[in-house]
Amino acid sequence: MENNAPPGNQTAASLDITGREHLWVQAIAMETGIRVASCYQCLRCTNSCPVSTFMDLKPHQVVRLTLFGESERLLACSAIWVCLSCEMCSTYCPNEIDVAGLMNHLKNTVVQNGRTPAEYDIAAFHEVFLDVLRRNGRINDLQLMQLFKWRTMMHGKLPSGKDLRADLSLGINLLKRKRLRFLPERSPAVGEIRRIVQQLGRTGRS
Amino acid sequence: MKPLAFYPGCALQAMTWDYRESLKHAMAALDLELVELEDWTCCGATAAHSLDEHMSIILPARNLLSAERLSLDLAIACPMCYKRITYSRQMLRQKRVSDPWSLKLDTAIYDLARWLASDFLLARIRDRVERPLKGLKVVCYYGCQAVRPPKITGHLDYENPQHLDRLAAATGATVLDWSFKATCCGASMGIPNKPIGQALIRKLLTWAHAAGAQSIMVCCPLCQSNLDLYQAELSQQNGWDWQIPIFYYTELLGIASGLDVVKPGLRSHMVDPLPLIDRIQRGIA
Repeated sequence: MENNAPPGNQTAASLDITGREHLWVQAIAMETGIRVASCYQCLRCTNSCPVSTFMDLKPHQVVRLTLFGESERLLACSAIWVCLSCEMCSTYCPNEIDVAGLMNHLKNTVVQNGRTPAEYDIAAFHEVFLDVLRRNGRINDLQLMQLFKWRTMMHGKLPSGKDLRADLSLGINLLKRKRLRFLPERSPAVGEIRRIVQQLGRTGRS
Repeated sequence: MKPLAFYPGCALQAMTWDYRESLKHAMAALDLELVELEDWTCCGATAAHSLDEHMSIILPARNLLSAERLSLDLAIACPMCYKRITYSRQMLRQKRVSDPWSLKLDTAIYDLARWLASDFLLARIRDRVERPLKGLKVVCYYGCQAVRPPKITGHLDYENPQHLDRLAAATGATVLDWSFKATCCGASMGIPNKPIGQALIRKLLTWAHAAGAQSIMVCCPLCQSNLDLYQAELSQQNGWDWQIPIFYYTELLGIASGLDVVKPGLRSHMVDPLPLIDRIQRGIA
């Protein structure tokens, strides 16, 4: 977060304009209807964003770098995963650019290209969520949390004693209040859901 | 009145059974009938669209099929599910993706809280209130999904929504104004990234307290969980000498209508709301 200089300053010298980057902008416009070329950098998206302080690239920078065709940098940034899809940016953009939709499109592109997401835990949470959805057609919170913790542990993130105690205490509190259910509830339509997730998603493979 | 098809959503199965039960009792007290979709499936929430936009349109549409089979309009309890299903219908209407079920797409979709706050039902609610919550200072918190983006939800009051305020006022509570009605609570971000989640929750609780609220009324299971579950931890970290119970609109409607059946649900909150309710009902808050 220390590197907050505007992108223009960092990339002006290295920006290699070949003409091809405009194809990427057009492809995004064709596929999603999002026209980043309408942006005049008023920063309303960044100013309305509740999590811009946690982003390595701010929303207005993501829009600008898309216009510059800087796909490598965008697909490797953490900002797109930090985005909450709360839609403040898309709601307040005076040029009706769907900034949250752009963030989402970039996330989808990372997944489609089989690249490693910059925020492992956040992406892993989404994948585990879809895995639970595929199993039951509905989400079971206990199963979701167990699989997610297991997944991050396997990825080398061992919880500290303090975290473990906090998780355990929350878990016990939730169990006492009957807020966790051991047996997942399965939707009668789970077969159809499995076909949808397997046909289209990546997580069906895991 | 014709019954509505009802989509509960995953949170209401277990984690927020307090919302499910209070909703059931509040609807029964108002003589409104909900028919739960037996084969409902998860809307995909944030996960589906983050990984695969196309899948995030097809997944919720399965529920439109169930509603069309019943030939009933669809009421949705959770704002996240409401937005995902509404978005899915819009994308299918625009033929942005092909529809495997040949849906008619004519089902009306209601956000339950907003639907209850319509003039007609509000009058019915006022008639039903037996023990007005006089003196209870409450701020209403809507979250993102019930209002934004206006292009999907169709709601023009996305900056300053009013329907929960109207419901709270109908219970006799004193509704306070504040600036964070539709500011994001972080949804499930607190699980993979605790610092981000907690920063957002801390901001909301701090400003609700600063506005003079004794309680927050919400319509979203995720917002309720975030504000309620992490409050003790945040309180300790920040040295707060106060705590704020987080109610669902259905719980306040239930209490004001003298439905003691909502009390077991209230006891399942992490921040115990019963002492406050007791003080309000005895007129000493």
